[in-house]
This record gives sequence, C-alpha cells and structure tokens, in this order.
Amino acid sequence: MSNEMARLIEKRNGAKKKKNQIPFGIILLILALTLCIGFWQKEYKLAICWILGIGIGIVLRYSRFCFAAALRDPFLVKDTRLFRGMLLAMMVSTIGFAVIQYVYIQKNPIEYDFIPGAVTSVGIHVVIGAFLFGVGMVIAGGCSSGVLMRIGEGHALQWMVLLGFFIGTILGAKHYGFWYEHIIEHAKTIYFFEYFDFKIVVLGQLLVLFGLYVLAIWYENRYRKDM
Amino acid sequence: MAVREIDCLYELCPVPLLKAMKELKTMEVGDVVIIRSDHSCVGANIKEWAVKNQYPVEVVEVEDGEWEVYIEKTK
Repeated sequence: MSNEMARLIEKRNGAKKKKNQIPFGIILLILALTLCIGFWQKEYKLAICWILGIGIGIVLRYSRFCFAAALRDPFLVKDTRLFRGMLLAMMVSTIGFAVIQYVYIQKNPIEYDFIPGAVTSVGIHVVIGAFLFGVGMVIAGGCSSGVLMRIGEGHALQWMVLLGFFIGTILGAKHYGFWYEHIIEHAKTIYFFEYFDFKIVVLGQLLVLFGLYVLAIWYENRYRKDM
Repeated sequence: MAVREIDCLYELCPVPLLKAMKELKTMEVGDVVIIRSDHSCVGANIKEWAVKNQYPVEVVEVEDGEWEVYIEKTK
C-alpha cells in the first residue's frame, strides 16, 4: 500500500467512531442460553440442534464461507479457493458419512428411505434442479445457508430472498407429485455400497474429489495470468 | 492521484467486484478507487481478487455493517 492511500484512509476515517455493540451481544447470548435451557428441559435433542445451528452460523459468518461464491468465482474471476475448500469439506463428509452408513448397513437391510444421509434417485432431474438452484443462488446472492447467515448479520435484503425461498419451496412441494410422476419415478437409485466393497467406494470417491482439487489448481494457474 | 468512488450499497456479491474491475480498466496508474458496500462478503471477495492480481488493497469497516474497499491501480 502506498503512503498516499494510507493518508487517504486516515483522512476519511480518522475521526469516526463506531457504536458499541457488545451490550446487544450479551443480551442475545442470554436469550440464546435461556432458550437452550428451555429446549433441554423439553427434549434434549432440540437443545443439541439449537447449539449446532448457532455453531454452524458462527462458523459460516467468520469463515465468510459462501457456497454461492465457491461455485461462481471459478467462472467469474478464475478463483477456486472457496471451491477447493468445498471439495475438502466434501472429502471430510465422505469419510464421516461412510462410517455412519457402514455402521447402519451392518445391522439393517438396505432400504433407501432409511439410510442416513438421503439416498435418492439419480437422473436428468438432478441436473435440471441443480442448474435452476445455481441460477437462483447467484441472483439472490447466497445459497440457503448463506441467506440465513446474512439475515442474522442484519441484511434486510435477504428477508426478501427468504420470502422468495418460502414461496419457491411451497410451490415445489405442491407440484412435487407432477415431477415425481413424470421424471423422478423412472430414475434409478444407485447406491454404491450394494455393488462394491465399502473401502473401494470411499477410496473411489476420495480419489474423484482429489482429482477435482488438482484440476481446480491447474485451472486457476492456467487462467489467472490472463487477467 | 485521482480518487474515484463507486457506490455499491445494497449491491450483492459479485456486482461490486465486477464494477471495480470495470472501473480499474479506465483509471490511470496511481489512482485510487473506493468501493462502498454494505454486503459483508464484498470486502473479502474483492480483497482476494486484488491480492491475487497484485493491487494494493485495504478494507475499512467505516460503520457497523458498512465497508469501504480501497484499491490502488499500480499497473
């Protein structure tokens, strides 16, 4: 940074003072704790969900992790840092879900609807849905988790997005029968554990994710110079 | 040194970055552009881009929930 820029910042912001937000923070913390105790007395699972939800919100906020940016920036500014972060998170969750599902199918028969981690059919409807969600996510400036996190941060605009989100979800639920009948019903459910050994599935998925990671680094180095 | 300001209040990611990129193209070397924003991710988003492209950059939180991003054109 040049001295001129430092002086400019100093000149513009030297005398300003920000409001103290700590009292609000303390009030919110007390409210959250009271609610947590209330949930605990009613049903301990609610309290755990409450704590985890707040925890995820805090992590999202401070890491500035944005799924919309992770999938958008590789195309827009040739930056794959967040995308690679997402791939790493997927690697971690691959291992975690593999352990959970492995324990589950040792004791239970393979029934798609009951396996933890939502095993659903694959087909053209996934591609269409993902594309629509991607377009909506970039226009709205955030995915569903990002929208919720930004509402917590105080963005009034995201309330509108949330309203749209509700409308879309309700419409989707209303018309789900139509889509199910015409597209989803004929799609096949492929659950790799049925066909391959447990270790091969996990290793295979990790290898694919790692390959994408390497590809992302290559892509970034290849196109960054042109900017 | 000329100073330019872009008003990106109420604009979401990635619009501020795109506007900044466009503005930088028309500026002379040594000029500074200031992007005003109230979207929390904009600072991180632009800073990352600027650092990668070797522009001096500074993010200042001027008020709670309002940021100014300074970028100097050096090349």
